[in-house]
Amino acid sequence: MRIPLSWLTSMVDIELTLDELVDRLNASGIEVEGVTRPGAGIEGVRTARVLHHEPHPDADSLRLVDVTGPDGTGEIRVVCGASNFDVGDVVLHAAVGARIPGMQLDARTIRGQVSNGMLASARELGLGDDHAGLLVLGDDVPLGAALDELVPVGEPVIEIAVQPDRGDQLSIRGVARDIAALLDTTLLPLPEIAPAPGAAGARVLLDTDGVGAFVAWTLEGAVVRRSPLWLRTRLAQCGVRSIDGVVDVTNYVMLELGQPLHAFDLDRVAGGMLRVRDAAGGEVLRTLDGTDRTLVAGDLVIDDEQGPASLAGVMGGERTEVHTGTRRILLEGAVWDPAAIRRTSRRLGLVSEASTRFERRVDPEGAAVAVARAAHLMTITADATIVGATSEGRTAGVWLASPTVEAAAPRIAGLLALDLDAGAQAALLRRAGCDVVVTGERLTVVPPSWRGDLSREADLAEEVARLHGFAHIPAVLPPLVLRGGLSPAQRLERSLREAVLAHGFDEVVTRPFVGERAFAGVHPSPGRVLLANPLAKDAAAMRPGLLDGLLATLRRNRGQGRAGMAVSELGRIHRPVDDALGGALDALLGAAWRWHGPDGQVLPLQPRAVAVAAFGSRGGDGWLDEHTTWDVEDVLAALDEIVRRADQGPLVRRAVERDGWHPGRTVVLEIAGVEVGIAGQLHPHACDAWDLPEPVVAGELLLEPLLHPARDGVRVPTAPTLVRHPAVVVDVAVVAPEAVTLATIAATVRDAAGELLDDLRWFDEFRGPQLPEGHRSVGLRLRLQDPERQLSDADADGVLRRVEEAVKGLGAAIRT
Amino acid sequence: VDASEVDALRVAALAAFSTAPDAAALEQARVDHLGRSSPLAAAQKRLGSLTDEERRSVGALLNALKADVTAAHDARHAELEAVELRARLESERRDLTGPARQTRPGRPHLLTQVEAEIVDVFVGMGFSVAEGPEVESGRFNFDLLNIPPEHPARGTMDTIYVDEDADVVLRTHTSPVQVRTMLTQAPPIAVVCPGRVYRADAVDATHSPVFTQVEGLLVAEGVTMAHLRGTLLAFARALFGDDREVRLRPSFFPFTEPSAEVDVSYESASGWLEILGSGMVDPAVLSACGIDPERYSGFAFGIGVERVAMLRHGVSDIRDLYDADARFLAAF
Repeated sequence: MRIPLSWLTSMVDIELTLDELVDRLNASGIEVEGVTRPGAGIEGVRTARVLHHEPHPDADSLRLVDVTGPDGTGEIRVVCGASNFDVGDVVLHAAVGARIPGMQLDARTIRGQVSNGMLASARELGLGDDHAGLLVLGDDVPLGAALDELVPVGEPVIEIAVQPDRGDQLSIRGVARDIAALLDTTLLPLPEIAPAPGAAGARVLLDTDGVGAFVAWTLEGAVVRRSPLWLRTRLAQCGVRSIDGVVDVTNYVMLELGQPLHAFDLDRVAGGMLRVRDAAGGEVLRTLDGTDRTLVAGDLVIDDEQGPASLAGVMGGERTEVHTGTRRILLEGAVWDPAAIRRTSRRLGLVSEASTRFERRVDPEGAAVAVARAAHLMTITADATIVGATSEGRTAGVWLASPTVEAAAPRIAGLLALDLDAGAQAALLRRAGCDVVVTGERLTVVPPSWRGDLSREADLAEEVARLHGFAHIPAVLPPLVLRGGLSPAQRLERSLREAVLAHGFDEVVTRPFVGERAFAGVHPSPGRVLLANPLAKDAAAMRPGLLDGLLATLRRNRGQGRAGMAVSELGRIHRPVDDALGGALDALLGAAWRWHGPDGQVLPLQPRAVAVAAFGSRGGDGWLDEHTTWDVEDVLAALDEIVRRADQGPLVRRAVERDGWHPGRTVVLEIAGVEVGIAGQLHPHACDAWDLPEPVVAGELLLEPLLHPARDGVRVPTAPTLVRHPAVVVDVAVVAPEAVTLATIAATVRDAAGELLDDLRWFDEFRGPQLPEGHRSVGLRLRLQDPERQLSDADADGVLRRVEEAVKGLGAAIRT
Repeated sequence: VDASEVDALRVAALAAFSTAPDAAALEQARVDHLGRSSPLAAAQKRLGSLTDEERRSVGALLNALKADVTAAHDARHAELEAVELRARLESERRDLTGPARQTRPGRPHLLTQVEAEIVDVFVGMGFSVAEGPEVESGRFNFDLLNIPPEHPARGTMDTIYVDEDADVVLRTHTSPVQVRTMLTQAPPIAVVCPGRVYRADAVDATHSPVFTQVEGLLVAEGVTMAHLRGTLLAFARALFGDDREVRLRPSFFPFTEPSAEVDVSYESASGWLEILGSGMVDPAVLSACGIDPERYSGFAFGIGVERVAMLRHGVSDIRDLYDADARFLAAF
């Protein structure tokens, strides 16, 4: 909403500088988005009459034009590129020495002809967007007059943003009224309006409760012509395009008073009557913008005898539109149900100045004044004569009510922490136009008809605070006596994040959308949580896993010439309700990890997960070590540490072959036999697809199995007994078939060594002709200790014998 | 042996030690002068053939000689050892002015850091942290927050839908977590709700379809707007510095009444920067969530983590937060 300062000050006394006014508006909920001065800098631009014109001898598109001089007489030659004018028209001449925004005029030779200044378009003067031709004026202006003396071009125009519940501020009058309340100053009387004629106007039937007031005046003898300069200037300042002296008046009064108006060509209104009704659905109406609109039940429509003539409150119909030949006008001002207008406007994607106002609620009592004001102006701008008036109304709409609000002054004062008694509050509310009766500490408040937002005590509290000034509200810390703090699961989540970072993976945050294809990590499935209105084709669904985003990150940085990078992300992944991932988590956690809607319906799966991915050199900052690259063991180390910190597991690794992954270097990670993660190296084809050099390593782990059990607290670790007796170290080499995994050997050795085993480490892996075909030798160092006594060689021998015996079960032997 | 002979032995031994150029030569000198076949050893062996009196006087001379010679050897030994160690250490010299080889720990993302910092400010004041789903029911995201079905914010221009018929949305704020909290807990309630939220905004320098919020809710008896202001002042000072002030401006949100935009004093043209929206919880929201608005009041606020991060750290393009350029990640 743009507010030319002169228009505003015609309605309210403001004894503030512009800056002070802007600050005051900002502090009062009327957000000033900017102050512009359209046409600022205009100097020496005068009205002039076109006396004569002829084609430029050397340029087809130019004209040589003679116009009157600064005193309205004489002749000045100008070269002009426009052709939307003729002899006798009044135009604006920027003479030699004059200024228009951004330019100082001088005599110029254009294709051999001297041009003494220029004739200006609306855009060149900052008075609109029209640059197709000259700004041609009517006969309402004297010749030779300076433009800046005729109209306040260059004055400040304040652009404000209006809160959604303050539709009453979508007009000059409304803002003036609010300023008068804020400053406790005088609101000046309404501008001149026409007295209502005695005769009745057109017949109007109201067949819906979607309408409140419906006022329709009839005017005759209209001459539709261009609007006077003062009207066009104000519309231009407000960013509204000038059409003609009828339509412009409806827009002007809408800006002035906030009541949208519509002018029908009465001769085109079939039967000369209007009927307002709820659309049945299926009717087709061509609106002013030339678009055919199919109505649905719930739309409000204005019919004439021929059918739909106007889409109520949103846009008029083309069939009954005012045109240059219009003589009889039906001027309509109505008040519509905000919800109905909002629905229609939203459904059609059609937002008009009218719908914007109606959906924020228009003053139910303002239609008559606005129509009378517009009728008065049309007698000037279109020479029309007012012949009849009709005023109908319905009162059933709940949105029309201005309920009486009962409020307790001490509660309001308490909520605001402001020392304002009932009398002080009443005085503030009266400034806003409320009727207030004070009974002890109770306020009985009847808000003014234009304030639909004041219907409850809380609304009154806000108004009291606003008019008194939010700045007076003190700052006091609440006396909280609550334990607060992070829950065990939240602390654990922070700790898990730290664990991943400690392994060298930088954290990233990616946009959690994917396109048709997404790199599959844990529990691959084609299931997607698709978006109904995605923003882009490559963002059509929520991510089913985290790896896609990480690989895209690596690719971008690789494209930047990075030799290596390691990244991690912790966030939610998304699958449909019936995805197999859900069953897997249910098996571990029961169903309580799922999120539900208000009626118990299950929302799509959105478990938390962590993923890591890396490629290339891991030499650290400042080193380019092509030979030390990120390895799948780095991924495993990070994920193992996470599970250890969460006190869950054990995390069992099982080799798998999965699409996109290296068939010999990939494992799924399982807890209690349920897949909770995956780690490995990417398949060379996947590396190619992501433009990344081999090896690329990655892993993904569901966090829900770790975090969910921590909801009710985590196990408090207890200190271990630190055995002081010396340890005995035993090294063994186990020769085993290749198929026997390290995990199996380790488990077997641990089991065999029994309670004496304190620590088990790998130290060697060997293959060679000394060994049987298809075997390898792995070296293990066992550290043995007993809390009660010092161990002997015999103890060590015993362990060794048990290990030797046990590994036989694996088809393995101890090498000596 | 007499005293002059002992002196000669001493002089010879000390000379041999002091001129020994290295450990091997010193060892040879030790064998020569202190070893089993040294003159000293021979003289000591001969002591047995002397009279008691001679044995006492010569023995004392020899003992003194041995002590002196041993001490001289040990001193020279230590000296040579020091020289050799010095030489070894010199050979081990490394240029330590280059970059340290390392696996640098990863860094938490700027958004994580700022979010945690904001959360911790409120945790320090006694707030708990509440969480909820990102794919959310429209009832929780809108209806219970006083945003009716035809409200413009529910349009597909603003909200990303998963299922329009079933009214399942990507949450547009973390307020539904407040709703979930109020529906399951009795006052007093003091929670902050951090998390990702979504709007139907195309990606550009100032818009992102996904961003991060920390919302807060306090519901108890006697909560006032002064408490709102005090809490947010504490937040602003914690994040931006102790010299900051906050300014409340009337505003409108469907779920609060009165509502206020909050500005923090800042080195900007107007002297203020808008950082968050807030207000007293609308009585309709309390009622819808089963809390008696006659007895309880509350305040709520919503902080944009990206906005705070961008203001405080001079990030001019919101895309930088989501594009994960290594140079950007390394800066925080």
